[in-house]
Formats: sequence, structure tokens, C-alpha cells
Amino acid sequence: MIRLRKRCSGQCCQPQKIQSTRPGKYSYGWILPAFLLTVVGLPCRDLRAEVFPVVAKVQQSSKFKGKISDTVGDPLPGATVQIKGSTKGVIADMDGNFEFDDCPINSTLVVSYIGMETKEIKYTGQKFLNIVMEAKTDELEEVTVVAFAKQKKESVLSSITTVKPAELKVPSSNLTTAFAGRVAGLISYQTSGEPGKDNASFFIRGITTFGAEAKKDPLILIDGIELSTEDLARLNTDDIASFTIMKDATATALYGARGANGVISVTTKEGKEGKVSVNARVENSFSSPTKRVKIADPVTFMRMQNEAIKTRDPMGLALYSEEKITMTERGLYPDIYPATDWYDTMFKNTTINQRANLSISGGGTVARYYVAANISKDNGNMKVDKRNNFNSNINLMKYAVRSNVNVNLTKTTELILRMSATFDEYTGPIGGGSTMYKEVMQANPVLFKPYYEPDEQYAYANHILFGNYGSANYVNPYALALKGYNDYSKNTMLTQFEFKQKLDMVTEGLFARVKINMDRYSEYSVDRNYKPFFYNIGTSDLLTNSYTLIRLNPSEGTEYIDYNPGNRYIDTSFYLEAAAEYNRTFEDKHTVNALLVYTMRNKKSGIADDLQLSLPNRNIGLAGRLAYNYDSRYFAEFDFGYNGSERFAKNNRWGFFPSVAVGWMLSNEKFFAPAKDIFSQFKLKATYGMSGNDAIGDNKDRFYYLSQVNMNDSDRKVNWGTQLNYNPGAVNVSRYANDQIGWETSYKLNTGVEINTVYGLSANIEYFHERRENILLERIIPNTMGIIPKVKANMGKASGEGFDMELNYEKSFNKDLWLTGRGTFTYATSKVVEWEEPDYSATPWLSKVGHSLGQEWGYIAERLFIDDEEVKNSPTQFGDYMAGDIKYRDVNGDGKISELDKVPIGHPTTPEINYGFGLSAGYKGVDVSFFFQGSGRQSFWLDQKKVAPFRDCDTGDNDDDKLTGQNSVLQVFAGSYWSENNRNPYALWPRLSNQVVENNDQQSTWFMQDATFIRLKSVEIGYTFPQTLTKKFKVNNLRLYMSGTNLLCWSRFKLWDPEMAGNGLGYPVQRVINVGLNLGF
Amino acid sequence: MKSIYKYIICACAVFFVGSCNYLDVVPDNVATIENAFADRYSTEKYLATCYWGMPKSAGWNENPAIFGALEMVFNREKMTEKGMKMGLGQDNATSALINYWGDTGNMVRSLYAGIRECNTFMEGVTDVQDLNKYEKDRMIAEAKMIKAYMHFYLLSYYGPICPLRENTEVNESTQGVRVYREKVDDCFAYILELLDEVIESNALPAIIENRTTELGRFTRPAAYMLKAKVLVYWASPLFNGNTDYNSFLNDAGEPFFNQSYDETRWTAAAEACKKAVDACEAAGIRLYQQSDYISPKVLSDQTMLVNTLRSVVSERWNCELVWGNSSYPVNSGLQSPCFPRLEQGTSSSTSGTMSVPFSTVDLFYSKNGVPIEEDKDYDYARRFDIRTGDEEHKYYIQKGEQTAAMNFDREPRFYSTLGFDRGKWYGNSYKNSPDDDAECLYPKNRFGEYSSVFNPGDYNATGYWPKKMVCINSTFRDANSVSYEDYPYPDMRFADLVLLYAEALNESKSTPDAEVYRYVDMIRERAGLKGVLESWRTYSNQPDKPMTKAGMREIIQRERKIEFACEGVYYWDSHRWKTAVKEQNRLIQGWNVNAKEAVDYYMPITLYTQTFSYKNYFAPIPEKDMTNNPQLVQNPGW
Repeated sequence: MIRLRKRCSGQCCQPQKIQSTRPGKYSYGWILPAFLLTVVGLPCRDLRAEVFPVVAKVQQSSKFKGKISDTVGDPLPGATVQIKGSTKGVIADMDGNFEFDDCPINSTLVVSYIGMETKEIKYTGQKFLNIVMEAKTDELEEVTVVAFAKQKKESVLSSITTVKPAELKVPSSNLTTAFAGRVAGLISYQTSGEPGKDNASFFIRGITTFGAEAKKDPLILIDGIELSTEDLARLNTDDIASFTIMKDATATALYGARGANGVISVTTKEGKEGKVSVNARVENSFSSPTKRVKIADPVTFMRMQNEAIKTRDPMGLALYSEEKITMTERGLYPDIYPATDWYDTMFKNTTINQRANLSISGGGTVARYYVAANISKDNGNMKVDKRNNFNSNINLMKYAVRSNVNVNLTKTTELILRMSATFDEYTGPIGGGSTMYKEVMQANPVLFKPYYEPDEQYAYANHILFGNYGSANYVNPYALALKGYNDYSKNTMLTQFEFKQKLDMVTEGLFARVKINMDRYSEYSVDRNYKPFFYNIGTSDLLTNSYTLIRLNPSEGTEYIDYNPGNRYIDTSFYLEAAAEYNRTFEDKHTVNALLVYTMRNKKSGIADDLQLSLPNRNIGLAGRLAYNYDSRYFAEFDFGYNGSERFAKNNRWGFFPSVAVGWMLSNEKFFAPAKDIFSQFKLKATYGMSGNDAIGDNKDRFYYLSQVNMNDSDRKVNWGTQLNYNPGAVNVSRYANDQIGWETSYKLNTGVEINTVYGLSANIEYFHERRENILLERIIPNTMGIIPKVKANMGKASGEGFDMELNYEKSFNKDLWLTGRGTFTYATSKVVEWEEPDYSATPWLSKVGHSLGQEWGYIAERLFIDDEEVKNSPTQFGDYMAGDIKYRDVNGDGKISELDKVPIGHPTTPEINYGFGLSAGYKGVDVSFFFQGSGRQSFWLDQKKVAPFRDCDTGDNDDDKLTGQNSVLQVFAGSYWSENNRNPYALWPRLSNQVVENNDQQSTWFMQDATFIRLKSVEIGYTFPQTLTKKFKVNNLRLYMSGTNLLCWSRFKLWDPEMAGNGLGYPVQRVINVGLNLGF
Repeated sequence: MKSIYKYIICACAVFFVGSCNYLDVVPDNVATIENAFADRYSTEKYLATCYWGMPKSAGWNENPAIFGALEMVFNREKMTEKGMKMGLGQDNATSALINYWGDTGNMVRSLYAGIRECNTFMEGVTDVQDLNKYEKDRMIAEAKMIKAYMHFYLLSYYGPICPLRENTEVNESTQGVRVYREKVDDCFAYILELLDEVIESNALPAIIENRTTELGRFTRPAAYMLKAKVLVYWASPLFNGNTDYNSFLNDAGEPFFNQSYDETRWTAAAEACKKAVDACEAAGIRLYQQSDYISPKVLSDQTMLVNTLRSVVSERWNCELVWGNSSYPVNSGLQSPCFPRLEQGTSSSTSGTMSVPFSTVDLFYSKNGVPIEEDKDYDYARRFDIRTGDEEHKYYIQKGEQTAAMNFDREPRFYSTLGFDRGKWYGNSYKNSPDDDAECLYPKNRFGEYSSVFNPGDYNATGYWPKKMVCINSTFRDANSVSYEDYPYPDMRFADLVLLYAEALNESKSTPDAEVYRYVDMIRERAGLKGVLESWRTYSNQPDKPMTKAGMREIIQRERKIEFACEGVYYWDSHRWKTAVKEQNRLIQGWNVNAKEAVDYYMPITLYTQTFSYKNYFAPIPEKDMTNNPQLVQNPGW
């Protein structure tokens, strides 16, 4: 609420009649909004223009005084009182007082004030009227955002979770990291903490499609426009007006083609009628990895690598001499006998990130505006060498601006203009931060130093003397990080027009709207780097502790940088939505809500790799809703979506997705009255229906109804003719036409109960079941059909079920003390129902049918082989193996371990359970809150490529980085591994090896891990300064707060943050300590 | 108010009318299979695609017959090549080595995929606008011929197959795509049906007129010859009353192989062979004779004949070729291993690894035209002794140099087919066309000599190179580099047909008669040998052998082994005769190529032990297809 009383006290103490309407005379507080209105190009009408001094014909009139105040008792200066049906009125003075000279008795007074509900009062001749006005309620609290519309909360039957934007406030510039545990029905987890790549994965009610390339993540709508996860991630919480996720068929049927995986719908704030409101927030965070992976020291590394060689081949040559090991252990000559802690060399423990945002909103009866800008700076935690003139640490700047303007063109016409733009500017190491982490795990700690101080010969070298070994093809992360940097820029721009017209003149409750949106995404990326020169010790003298260097790659290195272009994209899209809606209540009991929407979408890619990708993605849809409720007790709703997609043949192009819903508000029944003392609301609801998915395969391969043919395959030669040189060319079919391929459809059932109690506790519990049909899968085609390209068909069926619930508690004990609590729990599991597979009748455990979609298959590891005798007497396994290697169970008893012995092991790789709970409490200015979050029923495997000691794991995106790396030895393995002296058949790591041991490299239960965890996700303490203090500085609201995320974690898995699961050695998830300031005036 | 509804309805109607085309984002001219039949040029492309799908013959990892019967071998360093593993009996169902059933590569590819392409072609070609009917008919006949060829190849390689008569739709049901193997007689019947259609349509040309662009396509004689060959196979013991497979049953419990021998099939085969011979002769196809070989120099009779016999195989598109497989011609890939280095160079210019073992070398007749073990004049027992090259053999063996006795006094085909240590090798090098051909170069293969090991693994393991496979025009440009002349693989040559005819005649008659001898003698005569009757009568210790059907059968089989040695014919012959199980459990031997001195070099060394059991008559059906289609029955023994 904007109050101006103090500012102009003493200036206008007399109540005044409205004679003149010059603005600014009464309060300079009007200037800014008025100015803004001018700026947005509106006719600058006086805000009080509807008030005119007129003399009305009255029979009997009276003079009276009055006072206008708000619910708290603060006066409302400038409020108007007007006699209905006339133009006569007055304006309240600075103390909210007004005086009416001759007001006809029994006339109706209309009291209005910006930001307050207009009030009508019957004047019956009182001498003094005390008028209390109520603030315009935020309509969002009463209504819920549903597909293409808003519905009264009580009449919502579909499964929709609404989250208060405040719940999603985390000290991160990535919104998706806030989802886990906070949104009932959402399964979410974050596996990387790297700025720019730290999006959490999230799925609404789990994954129920197993199409290899099918879209599995939900539809994301921001202000009704389909956007990407990236766009959602960049959204600033302060700009969000509502955040809803739609889970069942009734909620998503209208989105037809795109609703099967659920919908996340976010709307941004709009300006509210009222004086200008400025809100600013500044945050500074300190982030550091939640957990640092412990690795064995360099001396242990050397001893173990020597053992790894000798234990497999007694004749093998030890890599490190005893002299080297001893000298390294003594640590007297760190240049000659280096022992590098690569982690410390490369990374800082803490990095500092900043965010700031500012929003200005306000408006009058004609126009309202919301303008926001925010900026964030995320840094990586790489150390930077001062000698480089470029900074190769991650530095990600994000800028976003948003402007939402609503204009009432006429009393019945509203125009909304929304514009937003985001800009990401990034510089960082080549390959990104997680590559750096992987490289650190690959670097040999003792063969060379990260860099050498120049000796005499190279004293004048104009570059850093990076260390390396052999022919300079070992991994030196320091050199890789400093050799250059990646530079990218991403930009999204969005413009949206919406035009709303009330059509009460046609029939009451009817209105229509049209929305047009255009957006553009662009991106480019470049790498700039030089080729480092590498050095190692040539000769050394221990007596003087001096050395000379040799240059290992004199001909390859460069001192100058080179340039490599990367990704370039320009995507544009167009969206049109036209809707007619009808809302009316007949005879106070029959409420009807009808909606018909037409949508059209066109997405194009400007820089496409091939012809098919360059063709637009298009959808057309007609959707509708018919909802009816009787007396707010019995509810029924029918929804449908009728959608077309460009991907399918004409016969399958259109899909019809209906759904029905019923609900019963028990609490509005007469018989419920006795229970009203406990339950303020009690609703039962059920929905059933369909929704579809057209993104069932790779975009590259989307026109299934057309064959894909290379008309000039130059590899297929026939060499005809006398000279064997006549080749007419050949045809190569890479896809056969199949016009039967169509929509993936999901049949969703949802039942639930919504309870509100008078004690402040409310609950929403839902059970769901989903059956996904027509899942696109790759067919099992016997060779005798003669088809070599993969054949796909809608032949898969899967089902999913589970429940989600949400508990809320809100209680104000008195004026100063309040408490809120919130808990969510989501359980979603899935099952393959039909899958075309080979004949597994002899080995039924290989069949995927009946197992979760995320189920993994592997061997059952029994233990490590005790001795070679046992190896000889056991079923044959893989490659060469010996005592101390993993012994697997021969499931089918055929005397050998083969593919046929793989059984389903562990839980799915995505969690089946996500939950969270937290409490907030406030006393006077102080507020405290905490939130716990956890997930369960998830397995992952230690990726042996990354953890097997001494193995060369290629760090690049492709399989081969052409560098020699050696995995570090994790401390836990150094402490427990099978060795000839300690033949522990249950040691964590099998017999060491310097090479890949095919036998141990199989997916088995040996390396299976339980990813279950619970963590203290966030804690926040805030202090809001009392207004009495802040008002002096014209500040309405000043809050200082401190928060922390990912503070504590409990899990059975100890090596790294369990949420990262299989990505454990990548860029770690961050623990963030954040200090912030929120300012409103 | 009503009017507003009208507007709304109109607006909606406009949207939906507009929307019909809105979703047609694909322009009409995106390449689809229909484009392949847009005009004569793209149709020719598709026809070429069908030809391309034919099994490749000129590679040991593609053609199972090259090493399959160990008629030739690689050294032990290269024994892991797929073809070699095949010959060594290491094929298996889990990872089938040469997998014409289901491989997806560009060299070895499922023949079913090729058949599918032929079917698509036959469906599509009828709609092409700018092709004349006779052109379409010819193309259809060619596609049908390819289809028959592929079925026949599968049948020979796998036994009972699943003929792909018509293409199944890609959206066929799971049950629909699971087909059954059919009885071999039904498979034969289908192949013959296709070939009869080809022949009856009379759409194939007798000869290729447009030689610059069409050589390599099928002709009428090729169709007749293929039919003859198919009928001979059908009559051969493997497919005719093969009781070894009495318990190899289909889903109805009936044996895949007919269980009673039907002699009349040989009569049919003989008739078809006769027709094929006639068709060939009408088209000018005949045995390549010495007069066909044009030499720029005056050569001795011996060298002349050797070069003639080499040219039969390696001269492009010669008059004996009924159909040459050019999609993978015999290029450097196959010629380099067959080619020894003929002088000291500084690089490993040819690998020379293709080694002919004694089992093949011993087959060649003596100069008297009878088997060396039967020749009364041939000292068979002392064939491993060392003998010095003399005046009589100076065109075959370097005069004055030592080599094994068994390299002397052999028939001309011995010298045209094989290269060996100190054996003359005329041509094929920039300095190897001397005026006196007795002075031409020769390989020196004792350890350390220029033809021996150059790089590890690049050496001949037995001391015999299949000279025949090196095109006479492939030439060392200098000591270190070779230009190869590619030639189409002689998959169908007239000599083959002639001997098939002789075989069919012999089998269909109670005793061999002049007709049988005539066709065998045609081949012998071309190779510079006397007729069967005369040779045996004069030189053999079994002079009456040609007089009996069984004896003549042996002679014809031996003639085939010699005439087609190293051409990958023996593999298929030994299977259809069912002689492999008798002949191919043996030692694979060669000279001791790691020795420096002649005395040590000319010691027989055993390289491999060849094993063959009944299961090897057919390749295994890949296990993956067995699980993908539980209706399939695996071949016995796999």
C-alpha cells in the first residue's frame, strides 16, 4: 500500500471541493505514474477525470462529513466520493477527510481509490460517515491459472499445483534448482553446479514414455508461450506472478499435442492499480562445492600404480623407481620430484556471485505497468594465472529486462503488451567447467609440474612453461584451462500482444481475446586458444636443487591464439491464440464456464544442419472447455484438444484428446455443517482423459510418413563399362515411409481430495495412474524382411502411477507471531507394458516388460575371486581375469557368463520419490525458515571409465581426446582394494590393473550405488526493519537476509554429493551462502 | 447479435480452411523413394543400386569361397581375418563371420536387403514415364535376375531360406514379420520360376551393345547359365536326396531336404546347360584361346600359353566372360596379396600374403595331363627333392636356379596359376618384358630375399602365389610402386558352364560317352593338354578311369579344381558334391619360407590343420535373428 500522508502533511489540511482538476496540485506523488503513462503513449487523461462538479436535481439533501481509511486505519488522501448517476463528487484531503455539502438522502455514494475495491454506500442521512476501503485483492489468490484461462479455485477439478513464487526463491540465478521437493508432483534433481549448465532435470510425475528420442520433459509455458527449459531457468522469481504445474488429463487435454508430459505454466507480474512501487533486491553469494572428492596422495598413487602393473604381470616394469617414490615422499625437491595436488592448483574453494534486480510497477485505471530488470554474475571456481592476459575462469553474466503494460482502451477492451529479453554473456575455459573437473581427475600427480619456473635457457620465453611428459600428450589441466577460452552469447527476445474484449453486449459473461507472440533466440560461440608449449626437467642437480628444462613440443606450440567458431543458432517462432470465454452464473446456482481456443504455432530454425531441420515445426489446435457447477457443490467439466502436427501423414495428422472431470464439494453440503468446525473446505475430485505428444522422435527424423533417401550414394559403385568407370550413382534409403506413425497418447486418471481446516492446515492428496500408448519404438525386424534402416512404430505401451501430496500450514498467532509450514511428497513409478522384443522365453529376466522404464540390467556380482583355482573352476567370464577380479553369478546356469545372465538390478536411474518439507516463522521483524529435501528409490553406478584407477578416460565430448590420462585413485579405493597381501574378497575395489580389465568393466551390482538422500536444502534468516524507522528514508520495506542452500546432506553414499549420482566427478553441486537486501519504496 | 456469431463462425472457418495446408511444411521435392523413379536417369541409378547389392566376390572377407575351403591361406599373422577364420572353422552363430543374412555394412550386406531393393525396383519401374517398354522389360528382367541370384546365393550358403517374394510393409505386425524357412526344393522352385520368367520374357540382350556404360549388366546367356547352374546344384548330392539332414525338420515336422535322390534332375540340368551353351555361342561367348591373347612381343609357346591362361581370368571383359562382377572388381586389394615383389625395393609395395598350400598345388596335372600321383612317368615320391632349372624348363623356371622337383614337369595351368620361388613370372613390371622371355624376372622367396618377408606379416606362407589373379596389365612402375589394372571378378565364365555341362551329362548317363569327353577335352585342349581318353590311356596307372561314370566324375571334379583353382569355385563345388567332409580334414602345408638356404626352404611345413564337419556345409543363421524371430530353425550343428 502506498501511503503519502506524511509527505504532505501540513500542506493541504482543508477538505476541498473539486473545482479544478489540475494534477499535481494536491500531491506530487501523482507525478511519476502520470509521467509513465505519458511515456507509454496514452492520452494523458486526468486520473480523476470522471469527477465533475455538477448540480443534481434532488428532492432532499443533507450536508455531512466523512473519513476514508483503509483496513489498517490509515487515511486515504485523494479518494473520491461521488453520487452515483451524477457527476457530483468530492475528494478526500490529506487526512482522508471529506465534506459533502448537499447529498440527497437515499442516494448511493461511490467511493473509489486507486488500488482499492470501489465501494458503494447508501447514504441515509448520517452526519458522519466512516468509510473503510478494502484493498483490491490479488485476483490470483482467488483464482487458479488453468489451461488458457483462470478458474475459481474452488471449481478447479484438475490436478494443478500452484506454488507461491516466494517458495521458489533460491540464491541462484537458475530457477530450476528450486524445484526439488517444493513442487508436489515434480521429480527433480540437479547433477551439475556449473554456471550456465546447472539446470536441474525435472519431470512431472516421472517419465512414462520410453521412446528413445521422445520428449520426456514437460511443456513449459511462460505467459502462455511455449519456451525452453533455458528460458524457465533464467526467469527471475521476483517477476513471477504465478507458478503452476498441470498434471492430469483435464489440466493438459487442451494442450493436446504437447500436454502428455504435463505442463509448467508461469505468468509474470502485471502492474497493479496504485502508486508507483519500486522493489529492489541485491544479493551476494559465496558458493563452494558441497563435497570435495577425496583422492589418494601422490606417493600412494605411485605405489599403487606400480602394484597395478606387477600384480597382473610379475615381469612388468614398475613405472616409478623406489628413488622417485622416496624422494617424492620426503618432498625436499618439489621441482624435480613434483607431487601436484591438481585440485588445489586448479580450483578455489569459494567463489562469489552477485545478483541484483529492480522492478517498478504501478498504474492507474487506464494503464498499468510492470517493468523489471535484473542482472546476475556467476563465477566459476577456477584459479586464474596472472601471467595470462585473458581470464579463463567461468564468468557468466545474465541480463534480463521485462516490461508488461496493460491498457484499458475502453471500458471493455484491454490491451496487454509484454516484452522481455534475456542476454547471456559467457566466457570460460574451453570445454567448460566440468571438463576441467574431469581433467583434474585424469592428471598424473608426479610426472610433471603444472608449470615450471623458467631456467636460464627459457628465461625469455614469452609464455607460461607448462609441464608435461613424454611426447607432451599427457593431461595437464592447468595448461588446458589456461590455453584459451570459450566465449558465448545467447539471447532471447519476446514480444507479445494480447487484446481482450468483453462482449457483455452480446451476452453477459462473454469475452474474447487474441494473443500474438513472436520470439527469437540466437546464440553464437567461439573458442580462442593457443597451443601451449610443454616442458619437463632435462637435467637436474640435487646438490644445488637446480634444473634445466627441455621443451617437449617445440614444433607444435604457438604463442599466438587461434580461433574456432562454435555453435550458431537463430530460431524464431510465432504463436497465435484466439479465444472466446463465457462465464456466467444463473439463478445464483448454475455456474457455467465455457472456453474455445484456437492456437497456431510455427517454429523455424535459421541455421539448420539439414533440409528437414530447416523446415518449420508447426501445430494447430482447437481446444475447449465446458465447466458447470451447481451451487458450488457439484462440479463437472469437459475439456478437449484437437490438434494437428506437421510431423505426421494426413491420415494421422490430427489428434483428438478429450477429458472429463467431476467434483463434489462436501463442505458446501448441508449435512456437512457439523464438520465445518474443523474443515472449512472438503472437496473430492476425479478426472480421466487423454493428452498427446507429437515430439516422439528426433527432430531430424520427424517426417515418418516420408521416406528418406540419399539419391546419390557415391559409396555404392557398380563400375560398369569397358573401363570399369561408369557409375550412374546409387540410391540409399535411410528411412522407409510409414504413414501409420502418429501421436503418442496418454490416458490419465487422477483422483484427489482437497482439505482446508480451520486450524490453518490444508492438504491436497492425489493418486494418479497413467497409461501411455503408441510409444514410438525401434522395431525388432528380422533380417529376412530385408530392411536395414531402423524401423520405428507406435508399438510401445507403458504405465505409470503414484501419488503426490501437499500439506500447508498457515497460522498467525497474534499480530507479531506467525508460522507457516509446507510439505510435499511425490511418488511416481513406471512400468513397461508392451515392448516389441526378441523371444526371451528362455531367459525371461531379460524382458523389459513389467519393469520400470528407468530400470538397468547388469550382472550379479557375488564377490571377488579368492584364488586362481576358483577362477578355473567357475563359469567362464570376460576376457582375461584372475584372483581378485569380480565373480558373477551364472543366472541361466549354462557355464558361462554372457549377456543372457543380465538381470534387472537396482532402482531406476531417476528417483521415484521426491519430497520436501519446511517451516517458516516470524516474530515482529525477524523471520526464519528452513527446508529439507530428499529423494529416494534411485540407483546409479560408479562409472568405471571415470573411477577405475590409472585408466585413461577421455574427457572430451567425443570418445577420444587424444591425450594420455590416468584416473586418480579415490581415497576409499586406496583404503580397500584386493591385493595379494590382503586377499579380501569383499574389498571395495578388485585387483588393481594398469589396463582396462574387461571382466570388471561390466555393469554389475558391484558398483551399484544407492542415491537416496535427504538434505537441508535451505535455511534463511531475515530481518525487516520497522517502518517507523525506514519511513524517514522514504523506504517502505527494508529487509536484510542471509540464506544458505545445500548446507547438510545425509546419504549412504559418501564419495560425492549423491544428487549428482553418475556425474559425480563433474562440476560439483554448490553450497551457497547468500546475503541479500530487499528494498521497497 | 446474431451477426456476431456469424463473424465468429466465419473466422473459425477461415482458420480451419487455412490450417489444412498450414501443416504441410514439407516441400514436394524432398527426396523420397518416389524420386528414384522420376525419370530414366534415376531409374538407372536404382537399377545400379540393385546390382551393387550383389555379393562381393573379390575380397576374402566378403567372399567366403576364397578362404572357406583353404584353397588358399594367409600366414599366421593374418589368420584373424574373417575369411581365414571361416576357413579355419571358427564361424559361429553369435558373431557370424561373413554374414550375408543380416550384416548391414557396405561390403557385406544382408542379401535380403538387396532382394527388397529389387522388389521395390520392380514395383516402381513400371511408372517411369520416359522409358520405353523394351527398356523397362529389360530392367525388370535384370532385377529379377539379381533377385534370383541373391536367393540362390543365400540358398547355397545357408540351405533352406525364407524367400522374399514380395516386400512386406514396414508396418507389418510382429507376427507378420516372423517368417519361416522354406524347404530347399521350394526355394529352388522359386529361383527357377524367376529365371524362367527372365528367360521367357526374352528382354535381356544377347550381347551388350553399349559396352562403355553397360558392360557388367546381365545378358541372356547369363540368365541361361545361371539357370543351368541352379539346376546343377539342385541335382547335386547336397540338395538332392541328402539324407544326412533327415532330422533337420521344419515347423510342420517335414525335412527341409528331400530324402530321396532324383537322378532325373541331372537330365534337366544337362538340358539347361546345353541351352546355355547354345545361348553363349550364339552371343559369341567362347573359350578364350591363344589367338585371343595379343602380345606385343614374340614369345615362346610356353609363355604365350601361360599368358593366355592368365588372361582368361584377368583380362577385362574377355570373350569367355558370361558375367563379370564389377561392383567390387579385383583391384589392388586382392591383387597385392597375390603379387610377389620381383626385385629388391625399399618399401613393401605388394603384400604377397596370399599363399597357395600344397593341397591346391598338388592338384595340377603333370605335363602329360594326368594327376601327378597317377602319372606313370612322374616321380611323385621325390617331388620334395631339390632340382635345378634346366633348358627344357627355362620358360617356367630360372635356368640354373634350384627349386623343388614338384615344380617341374607340370601342365601349363600350373605355371599360369602359380608363382613360386625361382619360377618365371613374365610381365607385370616395367622391366619384365625382355626380348627373350627366358630372361624374365622371377620371385626369390628364401628368407631375406626380395620376395620374402618385408614387413612383419607381409610374406607368403607357403611359397606359392596365385599368379592367375594378378592382371597381366598390373605393373610395377618402379621397384616400389605398382599400378593395378582392375578387372571384373569372373563370377560366370564359359569354362565353368562347359564343365557343368560335362558333369551333368556324365551324371545323367549310365556310362560316359563321347559327348562327355568332348566338353572336358575342350577345356584340356585350351590348356595345352591331350584329351581325357588319350591321356589316361597313355600315362595313367589307372587307364580305364575315364570309362566309368565314377571315374569320369572324379576326372571332371579334378578338372574343375584345376581350371578354377584360386577362383573360389572349389568351396561351392566341394559343398554341393558333399566331398568337403572327406577332403577337407587335412594338413595345410607349404614350404619353410623362414629358411635362407634351398635345402631348408624346400621342407614341407604344416601351417594349419583343416577341419570340416557336417555343420560346415552351411553357415549358421546369426543368433540375433534367431532370437528376433523364434520361428527360425537353426542349421544343424550350430
